[in-house]
Amino acid sequence: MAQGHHHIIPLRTLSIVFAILLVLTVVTVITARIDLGALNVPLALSIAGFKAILVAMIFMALKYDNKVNLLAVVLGVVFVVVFLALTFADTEFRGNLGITEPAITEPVSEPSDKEPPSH
Amino acid sequence: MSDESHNYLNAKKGIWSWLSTTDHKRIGILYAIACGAFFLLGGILATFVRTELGTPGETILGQDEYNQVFTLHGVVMVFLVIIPAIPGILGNFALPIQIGANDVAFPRLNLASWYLFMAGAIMAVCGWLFVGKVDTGWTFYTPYSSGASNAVLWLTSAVFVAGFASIFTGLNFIVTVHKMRAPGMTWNRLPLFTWAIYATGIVQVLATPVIGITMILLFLEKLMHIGIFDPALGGDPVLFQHFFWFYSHPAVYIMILPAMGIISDLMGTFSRQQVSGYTFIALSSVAIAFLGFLVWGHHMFVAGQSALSSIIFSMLTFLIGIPTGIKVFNWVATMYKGSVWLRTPMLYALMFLFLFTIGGLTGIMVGVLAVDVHLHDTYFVVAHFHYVMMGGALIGLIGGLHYWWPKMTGRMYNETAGVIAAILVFIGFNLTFFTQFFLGSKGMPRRYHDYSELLDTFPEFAALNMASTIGSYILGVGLLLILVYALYSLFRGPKATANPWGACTLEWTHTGPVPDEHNFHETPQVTRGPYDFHLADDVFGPKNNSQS
Repeated sequence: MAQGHHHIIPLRTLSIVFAILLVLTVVTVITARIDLGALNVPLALSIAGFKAILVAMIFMALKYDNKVNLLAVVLGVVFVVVFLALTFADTEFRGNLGITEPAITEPVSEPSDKEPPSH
Repeated sequence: MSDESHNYLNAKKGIWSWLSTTDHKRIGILYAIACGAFFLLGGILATFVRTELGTPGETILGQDEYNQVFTLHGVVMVFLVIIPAIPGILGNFALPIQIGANDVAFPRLNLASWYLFMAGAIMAVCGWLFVGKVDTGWTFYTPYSSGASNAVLWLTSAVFVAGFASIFTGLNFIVTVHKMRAPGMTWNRLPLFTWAIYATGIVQVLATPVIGITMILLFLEKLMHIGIFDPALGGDPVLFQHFFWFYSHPAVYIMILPAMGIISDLMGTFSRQQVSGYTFIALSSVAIAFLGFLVWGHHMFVAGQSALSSIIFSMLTFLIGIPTGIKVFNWVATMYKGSVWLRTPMLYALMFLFLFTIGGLTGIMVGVLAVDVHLHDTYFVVAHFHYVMMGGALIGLIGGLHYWWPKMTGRMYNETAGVIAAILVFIGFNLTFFTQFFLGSKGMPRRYHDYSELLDTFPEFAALNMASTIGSYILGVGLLLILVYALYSLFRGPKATANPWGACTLEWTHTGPVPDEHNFHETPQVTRGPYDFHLADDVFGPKNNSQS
């Protein structure tokens, strides 16, 4: 049984992971202040997901545990990703029917704001 | 030879011995009583709905009562009957014995699951009686549910609590199959019912937490006014449908996969033949379990979902037809050149084959984007999902109950009554729901309590609705007949032998007429597959059978 031999994780490893988590938190805050358009949410989720993997693998010692437990966690993560990916395929493209916009979108009678071309 | 007088039913006496039992077989019986009562309630509500629609105009229900009755019918049937019934009753009773175990891996957790299920059920019914009537439909769509009365919170809490019962049950079965198989019970010797319950367990564990999350989000929105689903608060109502169907579509497979497992066992046993394509049927259960997670958006084609999403979901929906088709073709192939024995359980297996195939194929029809635009929210969809949920899941359950009834009770039921009831159920079911395909394809909307105004354009709606209602009464009579001869069998039925069907799986070959409290006197040594009928005389011939 996996519980039979508890793996002792070196303090140095724990410290490094802790530092990485702190850095990633700072990165999350910084990127939240920058508008990346459609990438805003995927980036935030990627950082959060990576942090969660570090916590699960190192702090929760999943890396050293029975691989069946790893499989169970990975399956859970896969379905979260599936849920988010397909939901974003809706929310990010809603109203977009894949039809090219008509060439004329403004009333013809209205004067154009653009400068007349110089000859 | 086992001591016939000592079995799991009489090992301990008194109500408390049942309410505190950790014996998987007794817990299965507890689920049977509870689910049976809720099935009766759901059936009565369905009869009200059909009676209201039998003739045009308002008859027995006003429009508000109609909405409330079909909502409760849906909630009771889905969450308190179809989802828990097969894993709870037959999974609990048969799975551990089928793999040669003396119980499930976590017997106390198993009992806790039943209590959680009952707590959820009592919350639902008490909420209905004392808090208020919910009329949102069983899907609780926002913004309607977030704006409705607090009664909806009671009902969603009930679903939340009952969901944990489902998670615990699934977890228990997964661990049991992994850890408690008897020596020689390899994965390719597992009965297909066990395979199906195992695949169902995966879906229960992975999908059910999402309905819990959804209900919590609904709570947060309603109580704390955090904008999640309600547009008035800045939320997105279609997001609720994503959350809801990410659980509820896999839940359809929680309902149907165990029934498919039952049918596989029935086909093998009553065709006296190795189940054709055993490995393909087993793995197709797992494939359905996983693919079932990828198709939820097909419920939202006309809900404002993006065109890109709809196209992806439509394509993924077609994929589900592949593993399902593998099963159906293999069941048919199992009967080919077999020695088909038309006893009542086999009649239900054949009924399943017929009805579920109609349900599945019409599912592919509404999975086509352009077709769904016309059929969405019509009676066509009502007919489709009743062919899957009742024609598939519940008919499978009834077939399974007939099959394992002698082992559960030690008594046989009246075969003639069984055949008559099966015929009534078949005729009643098809009369009720096949007519609804016509109604739906002509545009009759679901969830309307009155269709008088449509009769000018579609005068045939009156006759079709009347036929559907008469069908529901015939179906009701058939189901009540089952209840009557089952109760008669319990007290007056002839005693069953250990293996009345001549089946090959361990619950029939290695236990007495009614299993012992600990299932086996000795741990079985498994040396053959679950449908190895060429050893028939050695394993369960007359000599062996008379022992019991």
